[in-house]
Amino acid sequence: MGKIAQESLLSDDGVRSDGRRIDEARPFEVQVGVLTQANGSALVKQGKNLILAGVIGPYEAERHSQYLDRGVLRTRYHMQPYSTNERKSPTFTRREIELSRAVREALEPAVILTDLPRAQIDVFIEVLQADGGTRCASVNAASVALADAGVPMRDLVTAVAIGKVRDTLVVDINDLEDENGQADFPIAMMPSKGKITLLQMNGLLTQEEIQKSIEMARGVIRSLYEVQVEALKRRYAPLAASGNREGGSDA
Amino acid sequence: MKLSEGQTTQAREVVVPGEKVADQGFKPGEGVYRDADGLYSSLLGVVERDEARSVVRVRALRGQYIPHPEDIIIGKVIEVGLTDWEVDINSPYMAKLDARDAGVEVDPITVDLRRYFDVGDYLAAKVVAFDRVTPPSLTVMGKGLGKIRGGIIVSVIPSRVPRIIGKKGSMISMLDKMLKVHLVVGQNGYVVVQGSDPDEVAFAVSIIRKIEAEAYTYGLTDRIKEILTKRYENQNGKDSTGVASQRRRCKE
Repeated sequence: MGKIAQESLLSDDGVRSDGRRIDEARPFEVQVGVLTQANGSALVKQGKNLILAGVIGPYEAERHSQYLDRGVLRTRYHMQPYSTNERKSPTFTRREIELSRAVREALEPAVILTDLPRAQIDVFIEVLQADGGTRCASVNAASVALADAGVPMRDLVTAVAIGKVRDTLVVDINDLEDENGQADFPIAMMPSKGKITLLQMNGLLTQEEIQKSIEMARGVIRSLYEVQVEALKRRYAPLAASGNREGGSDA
Repeated sequence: MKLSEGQTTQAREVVVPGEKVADQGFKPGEGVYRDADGLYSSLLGVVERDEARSVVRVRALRGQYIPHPEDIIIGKVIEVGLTDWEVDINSPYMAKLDARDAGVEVDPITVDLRRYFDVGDYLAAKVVAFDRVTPPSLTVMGKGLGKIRGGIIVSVIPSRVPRIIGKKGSMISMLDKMLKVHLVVGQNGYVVVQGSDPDEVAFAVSIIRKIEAEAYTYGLTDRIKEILTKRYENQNGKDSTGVASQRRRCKE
């Protein structure tokens, strides 16, 4: 595989291939309730990633797949054929099936499934445009969509991928850094609890680097989380604010 | 929309899941869970603090209807069994109406339940019990319950139904008094509007839609009252002489 030289991923004065600093996340935008028929939805832009999450449910699960003491969370991660620079087959690949599961496992600890026995919640994630770290961006979109659907949750879930290029840890890696870097380390958390819900790694990191990565992720996740919260409130605050004699909101 | 530190407020603040809504000392109500250092919201909703009983609850802004005993709901019969009906109550959970709860003698050989309620019929019913493990059970024995004959059904977001009813029924009793239609409000988000004048029905629907849209605002009952008063005043003016309405037009 013709890998790009590490020097071109990070310059001597600490500037990355897309002009970011090592601790600088990509621009992050969240839009809530973009779909009218879904129970909940969110559109997330994280760098060039463009990801749509739609939630159906909770609804009564089929008898053979229901549990009497808790609900079932299902996720489907799918990439559009035009989402990558080479056409991707529209059918499910092994990678998409794996990522569907990874995203579900990142979300499951946050969803209070015991409040929804016998029910099922489906999250459909469509990657419209991919630019590295799609599983993290998918988690970010899906958790907002779940909150938008009125699903009971302990917290939102926010994720970011830390990477290593030119022996240096960098946050929120893009596609180029993901493919040519030395490590890809996606981390998802419940931000206001500070608890980790997903930890995966591709590549090599030392123990110290892992500790440091988690600390770096904590900071980035905090700021991404604020964007998620702000988006949810921006969507719903006007409902509570119009005619509010205590004064309007800043939205 | 800032959480005032440790203070209790009357303002309707929007919270997201995981946001702290109160310190220890409050009891968690609907939509709130307890964690090590306080009470947190589990829903996207607005906070309500009941100082007297020191309970905090979060009223959902979105989400589906979860049945509670004693709720009056509007349901649709989707299946007729030998001894019961299966009823869609606009919830993740299908409800069951047992023949005995409809005052029907259970004898599958001589009694065809279709004679009472058939597939597609709408019912006003009361939730008897729901333990989340077995389907919620309904009854149609009671005043105002039973098959719905005529009218149209307006579907609203279930979490906003309490606003259509109002504090101690203030809104619904006003609507009943002033609107020239008959309303049946289901906690599950279905409202039946029955009336002989299509204009009045359309107006009633627009009022319900307005209450739904502005459910989380203050002084809603007063504003709705103003609209109703204005409409029926205008009509009276036109009916009597026409002078009053003419004068009003000049002013505008």
